[in-house]
Amino acid sequence: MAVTISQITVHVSGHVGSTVTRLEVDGAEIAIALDRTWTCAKTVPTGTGTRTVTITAISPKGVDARTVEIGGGTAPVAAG
Amino acid sequence: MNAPLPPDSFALPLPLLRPGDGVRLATLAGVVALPLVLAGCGGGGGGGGGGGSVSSGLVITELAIEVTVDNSSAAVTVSAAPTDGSKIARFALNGGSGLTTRARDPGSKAAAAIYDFAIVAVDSNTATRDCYVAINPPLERSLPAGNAAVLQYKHLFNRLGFGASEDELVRFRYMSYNAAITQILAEATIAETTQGPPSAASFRVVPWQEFSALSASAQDAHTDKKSDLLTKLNTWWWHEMINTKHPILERMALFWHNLLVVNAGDIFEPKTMWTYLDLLRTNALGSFRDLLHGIAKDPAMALFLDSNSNKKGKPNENFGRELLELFTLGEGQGYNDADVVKVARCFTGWHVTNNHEFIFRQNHHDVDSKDDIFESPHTFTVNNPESPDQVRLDGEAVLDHLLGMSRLAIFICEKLWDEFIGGTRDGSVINSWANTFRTTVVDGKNYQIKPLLTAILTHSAFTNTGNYGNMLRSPVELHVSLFRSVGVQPKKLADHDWQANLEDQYLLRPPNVRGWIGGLSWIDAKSLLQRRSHMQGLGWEFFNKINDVSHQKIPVRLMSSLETLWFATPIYDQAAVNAGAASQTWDPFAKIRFLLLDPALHCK
Repeated sequence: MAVTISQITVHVSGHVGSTVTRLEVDGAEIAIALDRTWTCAKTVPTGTGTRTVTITAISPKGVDARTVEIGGGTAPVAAG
Repeated sequence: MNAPLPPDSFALPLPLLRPGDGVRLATLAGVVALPLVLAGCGGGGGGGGGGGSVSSGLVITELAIEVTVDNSSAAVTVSAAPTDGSKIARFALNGGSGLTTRARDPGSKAAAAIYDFAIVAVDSNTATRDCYVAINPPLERSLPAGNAAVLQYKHLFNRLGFGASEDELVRFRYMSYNAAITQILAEATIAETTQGPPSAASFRVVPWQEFSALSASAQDAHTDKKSDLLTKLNTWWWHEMINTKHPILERMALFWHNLLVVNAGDIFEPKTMWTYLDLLRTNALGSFRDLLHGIAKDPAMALFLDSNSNKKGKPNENFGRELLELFTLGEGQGYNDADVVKVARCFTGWHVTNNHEFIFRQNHHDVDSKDDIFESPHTFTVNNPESPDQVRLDGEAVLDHLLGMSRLAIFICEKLWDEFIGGTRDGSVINSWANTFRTTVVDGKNYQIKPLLTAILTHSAFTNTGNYGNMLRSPVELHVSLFRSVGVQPKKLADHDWQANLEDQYLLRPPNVRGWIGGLSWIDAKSLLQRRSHMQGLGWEFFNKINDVSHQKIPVRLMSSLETLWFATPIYDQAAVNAGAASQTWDPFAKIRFLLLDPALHCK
């Protein structure tokens, strides 16, 4: 009998520069700690649907975004 | 023994799973937190180069994957994983305490960094499954071309943001549209520019008497300097439009520039033009009440419309006429020629000094009563006040009276409709927006532009999918969007400034006081040839940016998404693009040059 993945949760941590005033995960604001670190977690669907998490830092200089994707199998060359 | 599991053994359709990549896990029942361990060292894979530098704004330092499966009894591990007590597989990027270090966060827009790992399950058999985490995956997965939200935000940024960038689209696609509009407008502030003031801001205005006393060569040098600074003022604005995080502010400044027109060629004074541009940008999203009062005293406007010759007994009607006809009411809307003269008389003495500063010259002001200005029911009279302060209020009384007329708000909303929606105006919709414009008060002032834009941008007249791509990009919009959307800088901004001129939109130099007509008039036989010719040249500029391996300007990963980022509509002639690209096999990115020649590029 096969095993089924029922849930995948992605934990992402990092830091932001002093000029960043707002941090969003998929459009929702998250807190920036006093030491400028942050962490977030997002459960991505195991069925059809997007399995990406987008973290966006907003500062006076502009928007800095990073998308994190969870995939199965070996990433194709095209991913680069 | 190791045995691959069939693809359907995970209830997890994985887009990147190749045929034959299926894995099989041992029979499990229940739920358990499964740590995933990274196998190998695939970090930073994918090639393609790209910027690669980690932004100082946002850095990911750690990723952790937690998987829950439907059975807790099987022995499930993740290969070679450093795991902690929480059974969450963790790995550090760019260094980390006690964790396996993988390739660092590649930074925004760079090539993907890919981190491979494998799930291993042991039951009666041993089964494995390869998985990965990718930072900066291909854009087609974070921004699916046909995704409704992506299309909606593309429309928004194409119309009011000089094109959609990757960062803007990925940021907002999960946010509700109305919430995004609120956020965009709340964040838009003039304080956040990408560069310091232009050099024009600090260049002293030399009075004509002083200039006349200079030698001929000194006069030539001064003139050349002013010409250079005016060009740099234009490129300063281009840079802001391409790089700003508040494109809606710059786009609205451009809208106001085309409504409250001044021509830098006529003024030919860098600091004066900067003062004008600064006024437009500062008030672009504020209160139109402030903007109108400001423009009436703006030195560039006063010079452009001959206010210095507007004197008692010899009123110059230029400003008064354009104030009514082009700035506030529209032609023939509740006033006649006699009213124009009376309004002009109210502004007599509103002059500019030799240093290009506003001054009220009381001795030139017509203090006689101006009776029955405007047609019923908006008739009003400016009495002949006696004190200097009251006299100066003559002009301000006219401005305030105009702001009290319902027609003004309708006029502005009609202009906004033409600029951002196009097609036949819906009078009832415009009336409702005008009501919002007149009645929304912030800090004691009505005519708030942000609430008006909220009403417009969330209205079906704007959001209707049938509107997508049915307007023409102006030359400035076209040029800015091509660079803004892929996050790179033009080789030389001044070249684009001049090229836009050749395409009939010379920034800060509209053709006349009515501004650019816009709409379909953006393209005629001449400008079409200019656009196409320039796009051919631009193709090679992009070619160089892509292939500049020492400092790659355009990440290769963006190449497959140019259609999403550049185009508001589907490619007009896909066959021509494909055939063109196929004919030049020596250039793997030849498609870009043919995309730039597709007619749909000019739509927004």
